[in-house]
Amino acid sequence: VSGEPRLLLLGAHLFPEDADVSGVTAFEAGGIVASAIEYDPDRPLAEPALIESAARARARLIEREIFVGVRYGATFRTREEVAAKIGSRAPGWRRLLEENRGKVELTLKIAGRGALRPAPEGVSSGADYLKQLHRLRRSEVDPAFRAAAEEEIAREAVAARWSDRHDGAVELALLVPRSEIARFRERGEALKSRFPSVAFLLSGPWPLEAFADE
Amino acid sequence: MTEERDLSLLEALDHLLDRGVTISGHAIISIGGVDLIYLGLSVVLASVDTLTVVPAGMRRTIEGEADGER
Repeated sequence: VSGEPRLLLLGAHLFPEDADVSGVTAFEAGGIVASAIEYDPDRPLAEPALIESAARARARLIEREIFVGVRYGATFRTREEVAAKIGSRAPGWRRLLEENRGKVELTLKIAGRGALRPAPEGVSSGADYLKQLHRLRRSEVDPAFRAAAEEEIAREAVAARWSDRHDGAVELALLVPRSEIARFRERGEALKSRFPSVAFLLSGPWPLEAFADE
Repeated sequence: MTEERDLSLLEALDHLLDRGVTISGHAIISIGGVDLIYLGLSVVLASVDTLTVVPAGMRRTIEGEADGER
């Protein structure tokens, strides 16, 4: 019914207490605990205050325990709808959350080069444009930096995964014990000292995002 | 210090909008690979008081994009 609050899904958790956070609605959904914030459906999802409140709720949730992070934008009218939507994925998520309890994701993001579109005057045809576009968007990282990040950070993590972002950035997702976040930050600082010309950011803790795909 | 806080917020927004498991609910989040929410965020960021959360170096770009969308 129009006007009734809707649920903006934030994530999936193993236990209700993992999602016991002020402003967050937690409920059983198809064999897993879902977390959501309630919002007025008349508010656009792109409204900054709504996005910010979701980001803050997510930050409070990851302070408690690992969860499967759901990308912003999944909204539902009822809890039953949430359960019907995520129920088939619940067994896999439960297993993932049991295996990774006490861990978090960190992200080392290396900035892209910025120029992501070919200059029109340098393009001879449509095919040429696409070739140039593909080349420009192929991410590149200083091999020495990549080797150092691999050696000093990735190898120390429980799991690590490199990926190219659509904005030209390259990302190293890390799964680490929560108790070792500070140690990884120190390693990131050391890397910054060794490679002052490489623009990168080590951030977190994040929920299961890169490591959440089944 | 402020710049660091701004960067943390931007990073949190980036993760919220562009990472994690994608589940389709009632909202349309993308068409043809173009993320409408992400696009919308660029526009709304440039509009009201939230402009203050954008680091100085990014303001011109986002304002330009926003103007182009209107």
